[in-house]
Parts: sequence; C-alpha cells; structure tokens
Amino acid sequence: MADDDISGSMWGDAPRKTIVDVPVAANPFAEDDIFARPDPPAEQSTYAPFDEPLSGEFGDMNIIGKEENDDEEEEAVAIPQKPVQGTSHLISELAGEEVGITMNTPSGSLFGDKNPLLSADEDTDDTARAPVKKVARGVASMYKARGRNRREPKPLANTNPLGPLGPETDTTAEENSTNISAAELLTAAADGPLFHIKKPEPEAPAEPIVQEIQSAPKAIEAEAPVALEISVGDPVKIGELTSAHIVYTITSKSALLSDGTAKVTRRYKDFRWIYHQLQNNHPGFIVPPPPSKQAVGRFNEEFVESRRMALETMLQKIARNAMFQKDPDLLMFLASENFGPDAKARELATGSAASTIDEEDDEGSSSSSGFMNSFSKTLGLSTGPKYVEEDEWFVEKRTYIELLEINLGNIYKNLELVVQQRTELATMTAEFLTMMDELAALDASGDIFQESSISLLMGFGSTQSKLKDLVARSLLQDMLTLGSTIDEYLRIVGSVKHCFSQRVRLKTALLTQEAELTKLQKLAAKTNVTISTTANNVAQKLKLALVKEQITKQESKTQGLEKKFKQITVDIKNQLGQFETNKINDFRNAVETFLESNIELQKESIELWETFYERHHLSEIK
Amino acid sequence: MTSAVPYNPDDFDVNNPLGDDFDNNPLGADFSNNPLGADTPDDTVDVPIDEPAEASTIIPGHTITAIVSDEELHRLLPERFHAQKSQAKITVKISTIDFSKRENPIVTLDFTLEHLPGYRKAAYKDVRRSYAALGKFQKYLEIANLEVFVPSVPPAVTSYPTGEQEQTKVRRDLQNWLDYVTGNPVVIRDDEFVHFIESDFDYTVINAHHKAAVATGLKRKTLKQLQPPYDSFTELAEFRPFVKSVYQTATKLTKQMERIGRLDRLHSVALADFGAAFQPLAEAEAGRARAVSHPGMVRMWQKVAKTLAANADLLLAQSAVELATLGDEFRIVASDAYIVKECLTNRHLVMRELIQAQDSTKSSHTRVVKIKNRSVIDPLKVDEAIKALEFATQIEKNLTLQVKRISGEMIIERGEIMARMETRLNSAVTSYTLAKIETARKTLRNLEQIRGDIRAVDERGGLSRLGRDHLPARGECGAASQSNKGDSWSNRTTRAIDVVKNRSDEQEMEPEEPQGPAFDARSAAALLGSCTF
Repeated sequence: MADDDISGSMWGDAPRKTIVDVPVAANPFAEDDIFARPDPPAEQSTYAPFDEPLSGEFGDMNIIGKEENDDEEEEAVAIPQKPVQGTSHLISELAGEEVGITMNTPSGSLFGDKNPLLSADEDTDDTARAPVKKVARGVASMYKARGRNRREPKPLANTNPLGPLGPETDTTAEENSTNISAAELLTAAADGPLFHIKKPEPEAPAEPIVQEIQSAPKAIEAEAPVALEISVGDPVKIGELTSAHIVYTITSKSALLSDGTAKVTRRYKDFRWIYHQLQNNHPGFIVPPPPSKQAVGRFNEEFVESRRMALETMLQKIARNAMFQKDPDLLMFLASENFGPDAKARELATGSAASTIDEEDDEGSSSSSGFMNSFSKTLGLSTGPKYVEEDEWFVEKRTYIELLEINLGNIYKNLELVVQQRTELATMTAEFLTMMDELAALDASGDIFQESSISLLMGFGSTQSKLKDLVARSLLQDMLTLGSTIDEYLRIVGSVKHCFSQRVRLKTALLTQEAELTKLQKLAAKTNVTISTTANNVAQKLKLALVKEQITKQESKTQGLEKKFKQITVDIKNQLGQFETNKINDFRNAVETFLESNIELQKESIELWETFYERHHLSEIK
Repeated sequence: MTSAVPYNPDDFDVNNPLGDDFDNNPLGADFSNNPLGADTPDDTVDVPIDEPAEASTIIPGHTITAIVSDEELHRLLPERFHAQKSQAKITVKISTIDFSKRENPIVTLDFTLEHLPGYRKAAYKDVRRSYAALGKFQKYLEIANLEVFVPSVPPAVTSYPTGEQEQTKVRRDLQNWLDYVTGNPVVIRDDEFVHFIESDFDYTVINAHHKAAVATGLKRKTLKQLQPPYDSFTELAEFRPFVKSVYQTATKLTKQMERIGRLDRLHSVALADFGAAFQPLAEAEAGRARAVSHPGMVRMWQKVAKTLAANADLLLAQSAVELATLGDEFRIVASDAYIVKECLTNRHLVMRELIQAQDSTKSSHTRVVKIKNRSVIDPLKVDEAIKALEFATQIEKNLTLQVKRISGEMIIERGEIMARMETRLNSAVTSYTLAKIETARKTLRNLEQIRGDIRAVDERGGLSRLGRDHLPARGECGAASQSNKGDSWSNRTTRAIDVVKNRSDEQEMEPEEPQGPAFDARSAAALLGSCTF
C-alpha cells in the first residue's frame, strides 16, 4: 500500500465542500421541521406556500448535490462553486437579518412568511444581482428553517404552539359548505405546489394561514405523544406439540395506563391482531407492522430473538405516535389480563374483523400473491367504476413506494446471500484451521521444525480463529442493524400500500355513490319533466318526493364519504411525509451503524494481523 | 558389516587357486545400477572397514548396524566432507524467463562452476532450458541419487492472475529451487549435470538406465504394503511417517484453500451484487420529483454502492493473493513432502535388498559349513560354494555401505529439506499476513471515506453526534484513522506496511538484483544443527 494513499488525500477538498453545502441539503428534512409542517388541506391557496419553498430548496439542492457527487471532475465543480462561495457570506447575512425579521413578525407561520419576503425581494431587486440571487434565495430560505428550529423555538411555540396544523376541521367544514367536486379539488391541489414559485402572490397564502391560526387547535399531529415506555422480553415457549407457541412479556409504563404500569403476556398472533385493529381504526395511518410470519424454525433461538426485537420496535414505534397511543385497543392490548375475549369484544365493537383479515392480508402481502392481487383488481373493475388516480402526488408516491419495495427486497436478498456465504466461509475456515493445527502438531517431538515455526503456525491458527469470531460477530451486527431495518421497511412499505388501497377503496365507494346520486338526480329531473307535462301527477309527485328524499340521503352519504376520503388523503400525505423523514433517519442510522461496525471490524482485524506480524517477527522473514 | 554370522575367510580352507580373484572383483554388473558405484571413486568404496569396531551392536535377526561413526561418514560422503571435493560448487542465476508459453516458460540460465571435473568451461552463459526440461532433470536426479531429497520443481502457473505478480513469483520460486539443487554437493557431482549444463539445445535425459535402480510400478506398490524393515536410524525411522502426514495435511490444506478461494470469489460477487443493489435505490431517489428527492439520501446510497463494490473488488484480489501465497505454497510443500516420502521408501527398498543379501550370505555360509563338515569333500563343490559365499558377502558389503551412505546423507538432508519447507511456510504466512493487512487497510480507508457523506445526510449529523448538540456540525469525522504517522486507534510503533515499504526502499536504493537465494541450504542446515552423530 502506498503511503500517500493512506494519508487520506481523498479528504483534500471534499470535507470543506461538505461543510458548506451539506447543512443546506440536510436542513429541510430536519425532524422538527417536519413535525411542524401543516396538514396540507386540499386547497390550492393553503397548499401553495407549503410546497413552494420546498421545491425551491430542493431545486437548488439538487444542483449542489450533483456537484458534490462528481467532485472529481473539476470543470463541473468550477461553475457551481462560485455561487456557493458567493453565497457563503450571504447566508450569514440572510440568516442574521432576514431570519431575524421574520422571526419577530407575530404571524410567523411556517411557510407563509417566506413567500412574501422573497417575492418582495425578487420584485424590488434589480436584475444585476440575478445570477447570485437564485442560489442565495434557496440557501437563505433553508437557513431560515434551520435558524428557526435552532435559535428561536420559543417565540414560535408561544405564538402558535401547534403551528399551522390546526385548521383541519376548519377547512373540512369549509369544504363541506362549498360544493366543489373532489376531483377539482384534487387536481388543483396536485397542480398547485410546483408552479407557483415564480408568481409573486404575497397576499394569497397569508390569509388562510391566519384563519388556521385562529381556528381551534384540534390537530392530532401536533399533540406531543405522552411518554409510553414499552419493552418486549422474556420469550417463553408454551403449549404442547401442536399448539406450541412463544409467549412474549410486554412491560409498559405510562401515565396513559390506569395503573401506570402493566405487564402482560402476548403471543405473535396477538401482535398481528393489534396491527390490523390499528389499521382499521385509523385509516390512512401507517401502522408499524409486526415481523412477517414464519412457519419453519419458529423456535430457533436466533429467530426468536430477532422477532422479539422486531416486535419491540413495532410497539415502540406505535407508542411514539400520539394518535395510536390513545387507541383503546392498544391500551387494552397492553394492559388486558383477559385478552382473548376482550379482543373479540373490541373487534365486534369496531367491526374490524382483524382476526379474519389476518389470513387474507397475509395472502395479499406475500410475494406469491401477484395472482390474487390481480384477481381482486379485475374483480374490483367488474363491480364498480375503476378509479384512476388523479392526484399526481399519489401517483409519484405510489411508484416510488413500489420501486422502494422492489429495491429493498433486492438488497435484502443480496444481504442474506452475503451473510449465508460468509457463514459458509466461516465453517470452511474453521476446517482449514483444524488442519493448520494438525500441521503444527505433527512435529510432536519438536526436533524437525524450529520452535519459532511451530509457534508461528499456531499463532496463525489462533489469529485466524479470532478473526473468524470477529467476522461472525459483525455479521450478526449487520443483520441486526441493516438487515432488520431493511426488513422493517419492507413491511412498512406493505403498510403504506395498505393505506393506499384503503384510500382507493374509499374513492371507489365514493364514485359508486356519486354514480348512484347522478342516476337519482337524473331520475328526479325526468320525473320533474313528466310532472310539468302531465296533468295527473299525484303519483309522480309522490315518486319525486321519494326520489328527493333518497337524493338527500345519498348526498349526505356521499358527503360523508367525500369527507372521509379527503381526510384519508390528508392523513396519508401527512403520514407519508413523516414516513419519508423517518425513512431517512432510520436508513441513515442503519447505514451508519453498518459502516461503523465494519470500520471497527477492519480496525480490529488490522490490529490482529499486525500483532501477529509483530509477535512472530515476521518482518525478519522475506 | 552386518551379517548375522560374521564372515571370516580364515574359517575356511582356502585351497582354491582361483579364489584370490574375488577380492578385486567389484561385481560390476550389480554395481552398474548403483549410483554409489557409478558416482564415487573407487577408493571410497574399497576402504577397508574395521569390522570389530562395528560388530559391537549386533542384534539377532536382520539388522543394520545403527550408528555410523563420524569417521566412516566422512569416508562415505566425500562430497560433503572431503577437504578438496567439498569445494565443488555450481552457481546458477536465472537471467530471463520467457513467459510466452504460460505452461512451459523458457528459462535462460547462467552457470558458474568451481572445482568440478568434466566440464569444458568454467562458466556457461545463456543456457536456455524449458520448464519441462527442468522437470525431467528433477525426475532423473531423484531416481539417480537415492540418498538425496530433490525437491519438486515449483509450478510455472500460480494462482495469481497472469502478469507481473505471477512472473515474479515463478522466477523467485525457480531460482530458489535451482539454488537448492545446486547447493547439494551430491547432486552437482552427478554426471548428468554436465549434460544438463552443456547440452546445446533443450535438455533430455542421457543416462536413462538409472531408472532400474529401485523397484517401480506394481512391485513397488506391493513392497510398500509390507512392514518397513527395521530401521536403526531413529531419525529416519520417525521421519517417514512424519513426512507422510505432512504430505497428507498439506494436500488437504491445498484442497481446502481451493474451496475457500472458490467461495471467496462467490462471496465477492455476492458482495458486489449487494453493493449494486443499492444503486437503483439511489436512482429511484434521484429520479423523483425535485421537490421530494433527497440529495443526501441519493448521495448516501451512491456512496454505499460504490464502496461496497470497491470492497468486493478488494476481496476478490485478496482471495487471489491468499490462494497464491498459502494455497500454492501448500501445494509445493505437499509435492516436496511426497518426494521426500518416496525417497525414504527407496531407502527402505534398498534396505530390503540388503536384508535379502544378508540372507543369501547366510545360506551360502551354511552351505559352506555343511560341505566342510562332510567326510568326503568334493573340491569343485567347495570352490563353488566358497565362490558363492564370497559373491554374496561382497554384495552385502556394498549394500551395507550404500545403506549407510544413504542414511548418513539423508539425515543431513532431512534438516535441509525441512528447513526449506519451513522457510516456505513461514514466508507464505508472512505474505498472507501482509496481504490481509493491506486489504483490511484499503477496505478501512474506503469505508472511512464515505463516513462523512453518511453523517451528512441530514443536518443532525447522524448517530455520531447523539447527545452532543453543541459540537460543530461536522468536521472531525473526516479524519482518516491511518496516516504516515501511524494508526489513530493504536499506539503501535512499527507497522507491517512500514516495514515492507522500508524494505522496498532499500531495494530501490541498491537495484543490484532481485533478492537472490532466499535461503542457503548449507547455512540452514548449520543453523538447525540437528545432526545427532
């Protein structure tokens, strides 16, 4: 190894650049920011400001990100670097002054303020600054978000503790009163965000936000979840041959529980039950899923441990969600001494049929279900109007999620292969080591080989076996970190898809309902015509009254469905936003752990070999 | 001399006028097969042996007098111990190797000869010998010199990918082998060496008749099944089973290394696939609408994919090096051990011949005694019997000398060949270790390179900053843990790479020649000093 290689010249310019632009890249996804993000109601005016800065930021970030990726190519760097350097002082300037200003405005809602400010900037500024300005704006806006999070979280909390998240009921009420069709709303919402950047409309976004702030803060998201500590442990095998299963002890501690603490035993099936129950209770919410089923080797120690871990992660993630943690089913699940009947009762009460869903769902979620899925799809097509996705947002997300599933599945398969091969390699090495030992032990009398050679062979063997242990440990680590994260996300993706299908199902129902409504309305119109034309129309009038009654009934039903549909759309969007944040966080953590554990492995193995080299004076051997 | 009944000519009435001839008749027919007879000048064979001195350890049955005195050994192995004869020396140096044929490269050799009769010149330049010729020569030497362990010619094809590494290794191994062979005083006095060096074109074996020296083929197989004859040289008696198990273990190790190498390759492919599987993730992330695409994630997945692929490549390279260092070395050790084992078998066969000769001496002796005790003596029969006895005695005597010579030489060579094996193993382990360290270091560097990118995915800086909000956003994570000054995680002062680097620096300073003989057979033997006589 050449020495200058090790000296790490690769860090030569990379880190500096990272320091400059990485906070920029990282910022908009900071968790606080996401949590504070408003529920985007499906209305253009409120929607636009939310998405606008985002797209602006990311647009610039993309440029920067790309630039860094090919930092070997100097030419590519040369051009974008200028604006970055140019903005570096601008950043501080903007962060210091402009942010300060925005912070002090009492109406400081999250996103609304940015737009007027920037557009004003744009309007007033002369064209001379134009080339720098664009980047500066992107950077500055990001910095603003960060500055807000970091420096002045309190004023924000004081003026508007829940952020602009409140408006849900308000807006939905508004929507109810207005008779805009859902489709129109959706298209407006989908088209809105991306293209409004250039339009200087300082007034438009401010209005609804002010309304939102005034409206009653009944936001779910903003409510900080109560501390709910859950641990799953102590797996015990119970039952006879046929009914044998593992029972886990769940210990939970929270103010939400009547006793403060609870300790119950649950089996795997029960975890599935609570999963489906929660899915049913909160449509549009991504419920952290339990680990997948496994028929063979259920009592294998490693498997039980990994399952226990996955179950614990699931419960902890559920518990972190303010919505889920108040769910009566969950509390019952955590505390009930008499789970079986209670579960039945709850199931009846909520009409979820969680225990029966289970099997079907498994069929559906397993990879072999391509046929089943397509079958049910065609069935859906035959029974009702097919819903074609109108919301671009959903189209994008859906393709992304599907791609994610495929890719993650691929990675997981490959990881498993790697692990399997490494395990095989370890056994081979073990065999090799016994042979090495044999070789070293051949000269029992010690008069043929020199002492040093024998100890060399012995040392070689022991170094190898130590290394083998190390590798085995790191393998386990890899599987526990990266492997389990990927596995978990594969399952979460399943949940996400479930949410999508819930929404589609609602939409289909809505469409059917609307079709029926229009049919009735047509009938009413026809009857009206007959009433006007015919003389004897008592029967017809009666019929009209009947139809009208039906229409109002259907209308209210449709409205209910529409409301539900809007709600689920909002919820899913909301949830997916959180999903994206969590995804970034979890994967980053997993990859970092994976990386660090591998770095440690390499260090340790270097150390082992170096020690071996030194101890046996290998430097004297050519 | 080790007959059960010592022969004393005085026991018999020598009234045969023809009987005197026997002493001077060396029974050439039998000796033609004997390298001892062919190679050693007469004076060594015909040295009168002081019988009473040796007869002290007569054991009933077929035995060989165990201990050879120093004096006798000196007489028996003049190549090693004679003041003048031991000065003979062949120095050989590989000047070039033509690798155009991978399986059968052509080696150009320069010879320098000292104190060796029978050569026309003192130095021979640019002697071109094919690899196959070397193999033939080795085979010949092995058969013709029963007392010598001639190691196998190292393979011309290594586990390294074709290229410089392979060529260096082949060159080093061949030079090493030539040095070992020419370092052996017995072998260099072989007539065939003259042919090997002087032949104008590629060498072929000239003295082909030596093949008959010991049993071959089915006979050899059958004889090997028998219990080995009693061996009073404990060192050699223990040596054969030892070498046999070395051979077996080394063969097993070779196979295992091959299996591991195959699996390593698969593993590296799997690792590369694993890395490649991250690429679509990056693409999917990058391909999203700009509003939702996260550049940090894109960068992370790209870097992870790249690094894993790079590490897979490193692993692949390392597995080749592993195979080439340990695997090939085990193969060479195994074939050397096999040759040593066969040489020891040859010795057993010669010992068996000796036992047969002893038997025939004994039977002719009894016949002579019988005739002597008869009342009527037929002078013709007496003549015949005495002739037969003399004949048998002579064979026995020569065989005894041969066994002694073989045993003495083998005891010396045992140390040499084992030292060679040991050196090979040690250097194999060393280069293996170095390769391992190098790969680990490179892998570590690769991994550390992307550390910053992963921590920088979002502004919180990853797990490394857990609970330390006041630290600057990032900075220290970029520091590589390995540098010229040492490793940040340990206070080790000397590292393997530094040692290797210093060594290569030294080599560059004096570009005199690529390290010549890695090991001198004689000095190694002296170092071992394990001869017990």
